[in-house]
Amino acid sequence: MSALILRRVALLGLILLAVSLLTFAIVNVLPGNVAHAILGETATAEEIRAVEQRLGLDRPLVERYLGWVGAMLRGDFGTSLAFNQPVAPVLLARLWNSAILAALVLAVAVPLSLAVGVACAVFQGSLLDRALSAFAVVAFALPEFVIGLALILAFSIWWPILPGSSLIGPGENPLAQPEALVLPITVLVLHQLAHLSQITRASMIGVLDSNYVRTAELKGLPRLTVIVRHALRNALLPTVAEVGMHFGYVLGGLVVVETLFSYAGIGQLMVMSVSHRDVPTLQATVLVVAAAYGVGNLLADVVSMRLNPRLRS
Amino acid sequence: MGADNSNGVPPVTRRGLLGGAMALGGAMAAAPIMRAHAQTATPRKGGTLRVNYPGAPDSIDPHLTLSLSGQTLAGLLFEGLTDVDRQDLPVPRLATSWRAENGAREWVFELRQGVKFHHGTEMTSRDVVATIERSEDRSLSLRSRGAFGPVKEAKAEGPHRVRIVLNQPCSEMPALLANRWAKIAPHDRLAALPTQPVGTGPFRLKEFQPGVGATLERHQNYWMPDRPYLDGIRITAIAEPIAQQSALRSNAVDILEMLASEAILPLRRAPNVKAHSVTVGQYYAIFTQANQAPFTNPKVREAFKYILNRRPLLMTSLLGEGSIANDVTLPPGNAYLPPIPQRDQDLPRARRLLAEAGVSNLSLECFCSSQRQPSPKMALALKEEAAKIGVNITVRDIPYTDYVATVARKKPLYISQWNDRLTLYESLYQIFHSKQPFNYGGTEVEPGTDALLENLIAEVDFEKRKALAAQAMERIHRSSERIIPFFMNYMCAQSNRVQNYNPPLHGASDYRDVWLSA
Repeated sequence: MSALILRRVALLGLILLAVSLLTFAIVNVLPGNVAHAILGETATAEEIRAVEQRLGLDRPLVERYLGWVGAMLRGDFGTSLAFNQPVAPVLLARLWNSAILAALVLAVAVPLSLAVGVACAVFQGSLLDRALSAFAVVAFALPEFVIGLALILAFSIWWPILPGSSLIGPGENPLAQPEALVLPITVLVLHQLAHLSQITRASMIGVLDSNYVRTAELKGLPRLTVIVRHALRNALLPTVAEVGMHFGYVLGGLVVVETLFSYAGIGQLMVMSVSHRDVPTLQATVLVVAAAYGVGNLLADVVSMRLNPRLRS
Repeated sequence: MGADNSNGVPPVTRRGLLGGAMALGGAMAAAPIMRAHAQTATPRKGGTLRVNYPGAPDSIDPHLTLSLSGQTLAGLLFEGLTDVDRQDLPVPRLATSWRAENGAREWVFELRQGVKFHHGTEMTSRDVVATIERSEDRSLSLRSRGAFGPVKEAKAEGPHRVRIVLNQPCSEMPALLANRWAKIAPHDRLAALPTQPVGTGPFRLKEFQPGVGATLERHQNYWMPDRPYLDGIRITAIAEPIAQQSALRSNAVDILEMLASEAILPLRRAPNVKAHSVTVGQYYAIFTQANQAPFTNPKVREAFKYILNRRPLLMTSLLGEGSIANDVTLPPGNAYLPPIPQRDQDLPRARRLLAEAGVSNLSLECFCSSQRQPSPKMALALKEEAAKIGVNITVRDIPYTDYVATVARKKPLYISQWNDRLTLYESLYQIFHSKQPFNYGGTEVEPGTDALLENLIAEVDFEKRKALAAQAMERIHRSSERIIPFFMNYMCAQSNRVQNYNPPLHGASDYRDVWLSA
């Protein structure tokens, strides 16, 4: 199993290299560079050229990319072109903020989704199943910003009990104001819940219908034991794979929620570096998110292997 | 224009009328800094003011920042030689007095003594000269180039006197130097400005987080006794209007700057909140770029000025929070504004002008950006109205950085945002003179306009200058490349806890006199 993991880690390295190449290429294909973003529309062509020279944007693309890879391998994340500050500390602070949000979301969403999914499967076709499934479909169909705006309107304007934005002060821990995290977490949990609970429900229904579960029931085992010890273990496989994917998503895909709630996380940083054409910041941010996806998938595979011996060989 | 107004009709005041007139005329004595609004209670010291902008400061370099939040930050950390009061009169700041010499070709500024930078050294003429030289350095391409006027040379004459020699006479220098980029920095810290801003301002930088905001603390050695009242300021960035409102209502911020029209309407009814909407000189111009076909023909440019129906556009774009404009860059109430009849929609005339120009079957793309609201609404309105005279316009909504790189100065038809500009030098000369940077088409508005503009900025007599400005604006109104349908009000809201706050008339806010009640 450890050989498999090693192979996957090596593959992840290659994927990250490809991702960095792709990001670099895409940003350089977009019209405009950081000089345009810094100087704005009133700048003359001559002024733009001077800034490009100062920032080294006039060097050939290959040279710039190789220079960046070399620095990365030495552990140097580079300097933000837009803000003239090292990328690493800004990125780390925001990664920490996003990680806290992601951890809280998963901690709430995963157990809740399992409970809802199992309940729906066990009482398949009941009023409870239909109500929860309908709710899940609606929650999944609504874009996050719609749910977010509705929650802000409801809980911070009409019935003002929660803050409608999640500002974090300089050097402040996001957990210092837990109430500011409630709305963004709720939006994300609703979205995750909808997806994960339906996957759990579907695989649980399949497993409950299988012969070994029927055997266990006929053997006279208590229903709860059958569900938790026998059925759930097998039904979890697709859910675990999905949670692995979501790990990357909640870390890097929080673009909408972080922007809506002004939460200083990595998603917001990514949006900003795209609009500033700040290549070093964007490269580093995308790499971190890609790595999160890779690690999330790897963890999901390891857990799947633990759950299912057949996958270990 | 100091007073709030919500009906789009500003009261006429002395603003602008005296701004130029008093700028000149030999020596000017140091005047005490006066504030327009009397204080009703004794100011209370202490507390941190929390201010929100829709976007975080883009830079902490005062000579580089483009965003209003960045310019506000720069105005808190740094100071210029002069300021303007609520009537736009130049008043002393780092300079205590000034005089023009050689027909306004040279200006001599006496500096305030005993002013300390945040790092402890005293501000002298050396700093002023070094700052001007940095700002004008072409290799640095700073946004502030030109902010100190048409400078040829700055010379120190002793520790507290600076002589600024100009390339051409400029009668408005004292008011001009109050602009948002002309900030003085210490000569020994100029290279470090992009990362460690050190100024003489009432606040010093404690922390800057790119894309998030900034925290400032009181400058203990500030030269004005008892100022600032606040211990510190925190600048945050909430972009979503509904989240902005909730932050103010739930007491998470004290002031919401730069509100959108749709955000200010509900806040007018909110308890413990004061909403402001003031006439200022910010506008969106529809560019019919004069060096690009079909707009190389002045008749086509003129024709396009008759297409829009301005009043409904003001209602749909800004929900009425602005005032109708007449294709000139001076806002209503400005003392130099000539009595040119208001231009209205006149489609037959537009059609006739196009026919006279020999143009038919026009098909154009109009570029705008959703990141600059309400430019897409303006583009759509132009498309609809133009269709009525057979001009086919396709609206292209693109990201702002794309717009900067590929549209501005390069395409025939696009919508561009312009901030308030204080002096005629900035609002007419730099924008319409064919050799100046903001005349995007690089084309003389009409024959003779360049010479007129040159005479205008050199003229020291107010009445003569007003007459020259009127002549220039008649031509600009008729033939310039800018269609200006309306001026946008500046909108902001504050909690009732905030005392002595006045909405900014020229973009950046100054919280030196603000205090927080218990």
